[in-house]
Amino acid sequence: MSFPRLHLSLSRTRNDFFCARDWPIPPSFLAGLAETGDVNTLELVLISPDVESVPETQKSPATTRAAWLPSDHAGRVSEKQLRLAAELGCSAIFVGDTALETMGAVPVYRVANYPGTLRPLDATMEKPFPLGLVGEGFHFGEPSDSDYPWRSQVVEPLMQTFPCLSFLSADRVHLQREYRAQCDLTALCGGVEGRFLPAFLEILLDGSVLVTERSEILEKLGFADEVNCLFITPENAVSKCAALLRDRVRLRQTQKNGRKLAARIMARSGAGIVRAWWLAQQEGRPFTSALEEDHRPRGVLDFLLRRR
Amino acid sequence: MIAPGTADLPRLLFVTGSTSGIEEYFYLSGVLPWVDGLRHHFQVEVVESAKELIPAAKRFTPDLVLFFGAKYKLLYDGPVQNFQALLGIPIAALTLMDGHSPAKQPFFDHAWKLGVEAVFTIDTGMREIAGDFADLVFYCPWFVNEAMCRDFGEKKVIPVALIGDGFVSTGKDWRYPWRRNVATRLRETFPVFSSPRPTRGYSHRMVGESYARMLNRSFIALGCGASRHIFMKKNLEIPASRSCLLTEPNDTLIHLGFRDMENCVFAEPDTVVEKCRHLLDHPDELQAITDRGRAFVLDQHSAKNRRVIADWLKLRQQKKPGERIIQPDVMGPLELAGADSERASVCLSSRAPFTVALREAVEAWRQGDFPAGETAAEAARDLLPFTMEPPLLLAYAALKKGSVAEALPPLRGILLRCIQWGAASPDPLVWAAYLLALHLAGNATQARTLSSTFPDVRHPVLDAVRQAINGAELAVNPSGATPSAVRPPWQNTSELQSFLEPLLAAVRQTPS
Repeated sequence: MSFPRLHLSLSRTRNDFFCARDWPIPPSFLAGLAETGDVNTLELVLISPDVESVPETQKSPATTRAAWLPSDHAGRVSEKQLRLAAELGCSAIFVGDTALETMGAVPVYRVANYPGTLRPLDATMEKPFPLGLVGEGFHFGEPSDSDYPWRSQVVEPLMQTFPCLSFLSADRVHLQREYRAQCDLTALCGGVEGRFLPAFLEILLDGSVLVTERSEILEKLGFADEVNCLFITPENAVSKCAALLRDRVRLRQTQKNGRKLAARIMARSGAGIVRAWWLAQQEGRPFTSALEEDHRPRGVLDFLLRRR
Repeated sequence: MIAPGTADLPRLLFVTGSTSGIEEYFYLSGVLPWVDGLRHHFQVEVVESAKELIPAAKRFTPDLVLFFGAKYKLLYDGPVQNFQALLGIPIAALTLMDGHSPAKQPFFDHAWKLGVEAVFTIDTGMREIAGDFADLVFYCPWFVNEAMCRDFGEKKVIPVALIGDGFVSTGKDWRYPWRRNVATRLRETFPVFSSPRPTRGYSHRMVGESYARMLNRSFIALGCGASRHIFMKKNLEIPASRSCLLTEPNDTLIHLGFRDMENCVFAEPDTVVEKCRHLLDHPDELQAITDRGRAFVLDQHSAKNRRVIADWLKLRQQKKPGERIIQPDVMGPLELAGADSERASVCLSSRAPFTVALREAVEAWRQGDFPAGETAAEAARDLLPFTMEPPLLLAYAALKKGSVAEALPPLRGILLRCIQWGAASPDPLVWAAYLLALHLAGNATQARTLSSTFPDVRHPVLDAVRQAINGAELAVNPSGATPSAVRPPWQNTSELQSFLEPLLAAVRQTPS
């Protein structure tokens, strides 16, 4: 089977407007898209969160154009990214924000992934810390954080029981991954809107067990409690974490299962999703992403309605 | 068998009792080092079983018998008898207990009945709150456990370490006010490793060498003296593990040779972030302080430096009738003082939050300002909820203002806690206050019945209460008064008697 050859605007746009200079474009992503093919028929543009505008000259595509809008570290894709994608005349938009709801004419596909394949950090990295509380919202002894209520609720029982590495700074995201990779367990959640965070995949790939809040979207993606992650509540946080930390064999197996899950998610929703969409377009079939098949959008409104 | 090179050392029979019930972290970091450390100054024979004590004493012919109390009580569980009278040699005790522990009264009562002449404490604030036992107390602070804490050569990956209790306190837990005040600021600013003390509910593995290695991975680690500004072993474990000690400044640390930006770092809550940032931004300076700190504790705070028990034994053997042994300086030698001399042993925690609150309560009480005394006693109680002195003062205040119902719960609380921690008999002052409160609350019959219990517990204040309740004179106690472990400092017996006299008069006027 031959894939359409993609015209990779990325390499060109990286140096001008679509993608800010410091936004990492994983080489594996480019490689994944540049599969064999013979027709220069699809242009894929990557619009990172910090791109401000697009030049007029780029607004009329000569060929079919799709956009990939990666989320920021909090799992959000901005209205601005969506607007720029529309201005560029894209036929489809792939977003890394799993809580995004749009009503526009252009189909939007939510993708629980980075635009590419992540690589695990050094596999030999030690894990001296039993538990990591790395990220915003893990504030101890303060009123509940409105963006991350679960984090606010679990921080007290966890910190009062386990040796923890905590790092609350939001402005040194690159360090967060390194710290999480040194923990046996890492607590993190998708916030009040239950977003899928890029860090979830990093945590799994780097061999830590993701300790998080149960959510429909995670279960849809294959997360299973005590198999490849831990779903905890403030009430059972201590007992579930303690049980896993005590059982080193089960801990290692859960870490291993987590890595496998990460690989599965990336294979399913990485560059392959663009190919799958394109093939469906070519063959005139309807297309649904893994998250869209039988899954309602879960934006703010949806969240509030479901809570009610 | 006598270890090589120790034949000239005095002989110590170290009665540890059974240590099997002690938590692993405390056994490794707190108990084991003493068993080894005493061998620098004594030929040591260890006795774990109570029934071995007398045979070992006959076989080993010790110069000193030292009973060991871990965190709470003496671990010796054999017959309670005066071993000084029985063996004819000095008897002492070594305790790792905090002075604010509810086990204090049971511990001192037990030690006193065993004929103990000196109590060596790691708690460098014990003298201030040991009541009538204060003169028996000698400080023998923690020393570096070199078997556990060293430079392992670990890669430094933790900017700031907050290891131990108090960094994650909430609600009314103010045992570690400084830790609580600095922890949030540090967590909001730096990557921080925190580890609570292991509990029986979840006994994590960050103990012993694992704990020391974690310190070794840390650039900066925090210690303090808690609400009583005592010297804690963390203040040695951090520098010995080649991490920079950052701590609250207090008189005890200064007395023991710690100096800001020289061998450690002192910081207040307002300056802690700024100081940490400065040090992390200036790694050479941080490294120099860390290295000087390590050299300092190894040189000044090793087991070899802790000579106080051996020195006490030497002076005890030289002491003439009427002379007292005093400890003017924790780092210096003990001295002999004449009976009339005003020279006293050093007190180090007089400016600690708990001590300040307790002293304010007593001063207000002395001046008759009971509302102020009550407020100060409540503040002291909030800092250390299980300590006995604040509730005793609150009970006195309640009795004075006629609120007998308010006096009974704190007194019952003290008695119950003492029983829970192994007390064989009550503290004489607490028992006196309880009997008095019971009677004034209208339970005269019960008060009279209880007043005849614990006949061996005698004290001028208790005797006066018993006489008032029973309307009869008591025989003079030939063995003297039972010391109180909870008599607040700065409050003497005659003041207490004057204070209670109007209440006793009311009891005497009550028809039987």
